[in-house]
Formats: sequence, structure tokens, C-alpha cells
Amino acid sequence: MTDLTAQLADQVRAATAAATPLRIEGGGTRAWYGRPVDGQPLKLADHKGVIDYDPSELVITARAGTPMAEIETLLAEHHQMLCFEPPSFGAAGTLGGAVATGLSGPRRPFTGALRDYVLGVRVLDGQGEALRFGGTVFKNVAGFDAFRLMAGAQGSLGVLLDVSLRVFPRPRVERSLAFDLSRDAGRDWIIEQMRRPLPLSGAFHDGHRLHVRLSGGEAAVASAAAEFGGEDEALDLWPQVRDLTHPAFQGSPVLWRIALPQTAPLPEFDGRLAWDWAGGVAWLAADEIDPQVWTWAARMDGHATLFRGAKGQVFQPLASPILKLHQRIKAALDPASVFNPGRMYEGL
Amino acid sequence: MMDGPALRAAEDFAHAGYPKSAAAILLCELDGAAHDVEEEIARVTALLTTSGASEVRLARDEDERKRFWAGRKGAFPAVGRIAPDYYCIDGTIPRRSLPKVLTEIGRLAESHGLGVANVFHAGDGNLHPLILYDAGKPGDMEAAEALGGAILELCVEVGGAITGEHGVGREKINQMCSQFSDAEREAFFALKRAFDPKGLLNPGKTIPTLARCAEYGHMHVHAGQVSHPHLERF
Amino acid sequence: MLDQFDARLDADFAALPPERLRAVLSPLLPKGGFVADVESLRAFESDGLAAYRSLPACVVLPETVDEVRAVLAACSELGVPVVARGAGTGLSGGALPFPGSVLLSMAKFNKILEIDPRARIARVQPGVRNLAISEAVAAMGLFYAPDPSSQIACSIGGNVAENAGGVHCLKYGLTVHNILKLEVVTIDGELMTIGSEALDSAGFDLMALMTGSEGLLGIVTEVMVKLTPLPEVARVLLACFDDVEVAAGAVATIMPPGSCPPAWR
Ligand SMILES: Cc1cc2nc3c(=O)[nH]c(=O)nc-3n(C[C@H](O)[C@H](O)[C@H](O)COP(=O)(O)OP(=O)(O)OC[C@H]3O[C@@H](n4cnc5c(N)ncnc54)[C@H](O)[C@@H]3O)c2cc1C
Repeated sequence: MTDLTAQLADQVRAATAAATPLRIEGGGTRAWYGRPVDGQPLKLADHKGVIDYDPSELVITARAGTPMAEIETLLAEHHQMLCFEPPSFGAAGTLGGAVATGLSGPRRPFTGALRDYVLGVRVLDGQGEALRFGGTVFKNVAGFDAFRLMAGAQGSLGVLLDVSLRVFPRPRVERSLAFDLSRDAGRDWIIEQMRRPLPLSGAFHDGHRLHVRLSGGEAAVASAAAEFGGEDEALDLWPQVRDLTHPAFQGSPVLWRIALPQTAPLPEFDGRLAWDWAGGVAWLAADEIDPQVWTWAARMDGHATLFRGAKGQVFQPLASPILKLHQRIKAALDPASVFNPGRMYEGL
Repeated sequence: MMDGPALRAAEDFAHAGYPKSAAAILLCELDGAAHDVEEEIARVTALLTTSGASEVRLARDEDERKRFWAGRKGAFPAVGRIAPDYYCIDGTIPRRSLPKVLTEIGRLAESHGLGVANVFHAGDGNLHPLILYDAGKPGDMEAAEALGGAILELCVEVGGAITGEHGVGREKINQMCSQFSDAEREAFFALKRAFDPKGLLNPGKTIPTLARCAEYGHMHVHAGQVSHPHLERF
Repeated sequence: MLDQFDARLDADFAALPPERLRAVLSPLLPKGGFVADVESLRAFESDGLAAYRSLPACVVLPETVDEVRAVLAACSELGVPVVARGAGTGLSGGALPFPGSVLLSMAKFNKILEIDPRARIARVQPGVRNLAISEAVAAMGLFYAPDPSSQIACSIGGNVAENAGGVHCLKYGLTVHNILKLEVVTIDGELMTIGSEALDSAGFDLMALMTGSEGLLGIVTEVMVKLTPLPEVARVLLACFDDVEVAAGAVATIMPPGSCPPAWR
């Protein structure tokens, strides 16, 4: 339990005064997600500890350097969880890193994204001033939702100090089923199922088989499983999908994540193709970067990200008016451009 | 959830089937797969009974379910019939502070000489105290405005927010000075300038200027730094 | 009272003669789309917070996105403030006219543009009423989940601007959790697409920033909403209490371990 706000604020003020860029570091497990930042490290890992957790309020507030593993263990002790199922890329992963990168796991299309569970943040702005946006209550529309804006902003709008997350009780039962359906047939099938109020919590195709997870009350899960058929399988598959350790994501120099409308056609590029998020995200394991992927993703109203093998560009290029707006937003909160400059895009 | 004055007004207006003698009622909707809902009904009924409900009734059919909700949805116009005017407040608080806040709202209403009927989204701590007043009576509207402001500041003090769903707009512009610091409000203005450099879109709303907050004279009362010493801190 | 704006405490703009506004704006609008007589302006003097009243310089009622763009670009050029208005059910005076402003009514944008039951989405204009979406998709077994009590009257554009909630938001989320994509016109008249039909987008989460921005950042001209499958059954419990504080205490306990996580999609 250490509150390093004062020291961190001093470092930010010094950096702003000297116009020295800062590279914000949590546990370092997601450093690869984004472009390299040339700057002085601003270390958050020791700014840690759970500040408040009352299971009956369904909210946890912790400092940004708190290991995610510690938070998840604490929640599990109270039969609660983070519904966005954050991936883990190593035991050192911190809350700040999870929120700054904004990644959500296989549950995302069924129960929402990380940003949907962020209730409030405290951040350091470019002047080293601690600002609080949002709070600890779910219904809160006072002021702009700057707290949701921080989710996935990669630290480029401020240094996350603490975060309040909404938590939920764990489902009573979970089951995983496997089906011998092709990528396309499996996707069509899950799209049809999602038009019904079923207790779905995962739909992943590894390139060979479809995997479906059910979560909820005993009766609803049992009746859906009986109707679906399929083959019972171990639930351990899902952490592998979440953390990208499943073989479908491994063994290639390049790994693309392509987010696309669930009913858009699947991409047809060289490489091995799997999908998650009920067909809303395609994962392409390829030998080299085919720049056509960017254009194709944009045409589909989606976007691509290089999870492995990036050279320069990591994230989908932004349309020029949108990039300019991003630059103005960054300048609004970080006028001296000291926070992770260039991590998302060149010139941002 | 509705308190006595609100539920009686709603019952007279919508004939929802609420017990008029109750001090408060709570409506709890459970939806989903048929089997699950049956299980949930049993679980929640037991919980409500152990937490002190004098009676728990399940709507018999779709008709009764709609009637129960019609009473809630019609609560505002219903209250409009028990007082010449009413003013709907919209703050959010952590659920655990609900009993304290209710007591305090009662106290504040008394000191402002006005009545209050309470309607809440209980599950998420969003309060809608309805302040009863008479615009025809000199000073009543101003008293209602002042009482509303005091209730919202109370919400901030217990760690909540000045608006759960109705927005700041013009109405809560002064209370924004309580919930946010100068630097936080300046960050909002900076974000606005990123879209609207001349400040032409909806001026005078949502984010108060430094001058307004200085004039309004209220301290920034983030949860923890507070003025009502008799309130328990969380 | 707060319906009195104060140049020193709020904002100050050079007043423009009404003839000038008419001369510039009226040609950009369809017939009847420019209103400036005091009698007609009265209909727009307040929103759902009726105690606050104030008159704009004029009301404009564009019918196309290009007209919205032209009007905003002209207002930006003239330095005239603009207040957007949906259905006017807001309870915080968000659509209360600023003195001397152009009140931009989105009432004519009342069409559902597309419903795709397979993708569970609908594309709608901002003036469409909240309930009209659920009514249009009910036969497909779907609904638009956020259900503010004002849903028969309030507009989806107003819902986005306020991040409206509803009776069922604990389970189904607020407006921000149920929209995918927005078309927004900036004060300079530029049209921007924010968000996408995919579940996330590159860059900052501008959807989160626009939702709940109360008409301060841009004018919403189109909304893509998510549709949710109708639940199989819905039952309601009515619990009675003899004591308000006991009822308040009970509220904190009715989220038992094992409840379903939310159904945001
Ligand atoms: C009886 C009653 C019950 C209510 N219950 C609820 C409830 O349960 N939950 C809830 O959240 N709210 C509730 N409200 C409040 C209100 O209905 C909501 O805030 C609603 O979202 C407002 O929509 P509107 O179309 O009427 O917007 P308006 O009142 O016309 O405008 C609201 C704000 O949105 C802006 N705006 C409108 N359209 C656009 C656009 N196209 N682009 C940009 N900005 C725009 C306006 O400038 C203004 O700031 C209730 C209101 C009433 C009268």
C-alpha cells in the first residue's frame, strides 16, 4: 500500500518544465502493445494497493500499480469478477496497464468491454495536477465522460493514478462445448443464436472447431447445453483464448487482430485464421505484413492491429480529420506532449 | 423504490395496486430464461423477507406486472397532483449510504420548509427526490432550488454524483463547482475547445466558468472533505 | 433564477440583428425551416424543466445533414451560439435557449434508416423517439434496451447527448453501452464518423466522450444502436416495508452472489 502521487506529480512537473517525454511504465507486460516511446521512464508499479472494495457496492478502487492478479484473487474470494475478462500477459500486469490498453477478453461481445466497467479515474495531467473524473457510482453523468476516454488511450492523455471498476458476481455455472463446424458455418450459427436471450459468454473458432461457453443459472445453462448438443470440453480453453496462448495465435512472425462487424465477411489473406468475440474479431497468424489488411479492415468498417511483428505502424491509420481531432484532444490534456508521445500514432 | 408520499400519490393516480399503508415499496424486475427467473424469484423473495419486508408479492400476470410499472412510471405526474408544483432532483449515491441520505434529505426538507416525495432507481443508487412547492407562493421556487442544490451537495459528500441521468444542463451548473475542482473543470473546457474553439455550442451549460464558481462561492467538496459533521463518513 | 444567463459568469457573444440571421440562415433551409416570430419561438422557450424559460433569436429546422452542416458553418462564421434540441423532454434545462442563440431543432430527423435483425443493429436519425425503435423491432424478437421513463417522447439524439438511463439499466446498461456509431457535425460544419459497427475502434474512445456531452461538442445526425433479444419472461416483485430505512437497507442486499452478469452486447 503506497501512495506515490506526490512523487509522480513532481516527476511530471519536471518533465513538462523541461519538455522531456515520459514513458509511462506499469508491469511492463503490455509494453509491446503500441509503438516504442522514446522517453524517460515514469514508473507506476510501486504506486499500488486496493483503496476500497465493498462487495455489496459492486465497486473496487485501486491504485494503478496494483497487480491485476491481486485484484482478481481478491474478487474471487468474494465470488465476484471483472466481466470484461482482461487478458493477462504475465504476473506483473497492473491495473493501470490494463485500463490504459483497454483490452477485453472473450466475454466482450456478451457482457461488455473494459471501458464499460470503468466508473472513475484519478489522473495526473500535464501540469502534474491530480484530476478526478467519474467516481464510484454507476449512474453519473456530471461533466464529460473523461474517465471512459482514458480507457484505451495508452497513457497518452494522462497518468492513471487510481481506477474504480464495477464488478459483478460470478455466474453460478459455466460450461464449454465444442462443435465440428467450419469458420463460416460456425459464425453463421452463433449469429443466429445471439438473436435469442441465451446465457452465452464465449464463442471462439480456432480454425478447426467452434467453441462455445455458457455462463449463468443452472437451469438456463443446462437447457441451452441440451439444445446445442456438441461435445463437453474443459473450461481451461478460455484463459488460453483470453491470454493469446492458444496454439491458434502462436507460431507465426506476424499476428493481426482484425475487429469487424459480426456479419461482415471473414478476411481472406495468407495465413492461419481464427476468430473470437462471436466472429467480431478475426485473428490472422501470418508470415509477413500484408498492408492490404489495413485497407480491407477500413472498407469493412473495422480496424486492424498488429499484435506481433509490427514495424512502425501498430494501429489502424486514422482518417485525417479524426487524427487532427485526436491531436487537439491530446493537446488539451497534455499541452507539452510529455505522456507517451508517439505510442499510438506518429505525431500524437 | 418509492416512499410513502410517492407511492400513495402514484396509487391514487395510476391504480397500480400498491398498499397505501406501506412506508415504502420496492419493485424488483427479474427477466431472462424462464427457469432462471423462477430460481431468482425464490432467492430474491427470501432475501427481501430477511431484510425486513413486511410483504413480498409477485405480479400474477403480465397485466399486473404492467400495472406495477405504470405506477412507477407515472410517479412524477402523480406527485404533480398532490402539490401545485414539484421539482425532480437526480443525484446518485453509493447504495450503502441510502439510509443516512434519506434521513438527511428529510432534515433538509424540514429546514427549507418544503415536502419531499422520494422515488429511486434503488439498484444503482440513483435518487429522485421530488420537492413539493407552490410557484404561486413568493419565495417557494427559490426555496425549492436551494433545497435541490443542498441535496445534490449531500450526494457529492457521500461519494456520489450531482446527476445520475438528467444531466447538468443549466440546472446543476452551480453544483458542478462542488463536484469538480478548478483544474478538472478547466480540463473539461479544454476538451470542449478541442471540438468547439469559439465555445458556440450550448454556452452557459454543463461546465461552469471559474467566475461562476467564484461567485457561487462554494468549496470543492470531494468525498471526504466535508461540511456535514453529523454524517457518517465512508 | 438560473434561466437568467449572465454575460460575466456564463458567456458573452456580440448580438446580431435578427434580419442578419434571417438573411444568412433562411436560404440554407427548406421552406418553413427558419422561425423567428416571438409567438412561434415560445414553443421552444423551455424543455422538461418548465420553470426555466428563455427565448432564442430564432429556431431552425433543417431536414438534411447538408443543411445542418451549412447552418453550423454559417453560425461559426457569424460567431452565433447554437443550442441543439431533440424532443425537449430534458429535465436539466440542457435545451434551454441561450439569449441571442440559434435553436437547432432536430425534430425533422425522424426516420429509422435501417434495421438489420441478423446483425442486431438499427441505424436511426437523431429525432427518432426512443420507444419507436423498440416498437419497430419487436416483431423480430428484439428491443432497444435503454428505457428512460420518458421513452414515448424523448429522442435518441437527446438520449445520446444525455447518456440516458432507464429502469433496466442495471442489467442492460446506459445509452453509452448500447450504441456503436455516430455521425456528428462539428461547429465548423464538418461531418465525422465516430465509432464503427465493429465492437471497438482505433484511437481514443470518442464515442465515450460524445455520449453525455449535452450538445457541447457536436450535433449528432445519425446513431447506430445495438438491439437486444427480448427476454423470454419478465416477472416483477413488489416488496412492502413498514419503515423507509429498513427498505433502504434492504436495497443494498438484493444483488446476491450468483446473479447474472449484465447483458450488454
Ligand atoms: C417524465 C420524464 C421522465 C424522464 N425519465 C428519464 C429516465 O428515466 N432516464 C433518463 O435518463 N432521463 C429521463 N428523463 C429526461 C429526458 O427524457 C432525457 O434526458 C432525454 O434523453 C432527453 O431527450 P430529448 O430528445 O427530449 O432531448 P432534449 O431535452 O431536447 O435535449 C437534451 C440535451 O441534448 C442535446 N441534444 C438533443 N439532440 C441533440 C443532437 N441531435 N445532437 C446533439 N445534442 C443534442 C440538447 O442540446 C440538450 O442539451 C425524463 C424526462 C421526463 C420529462
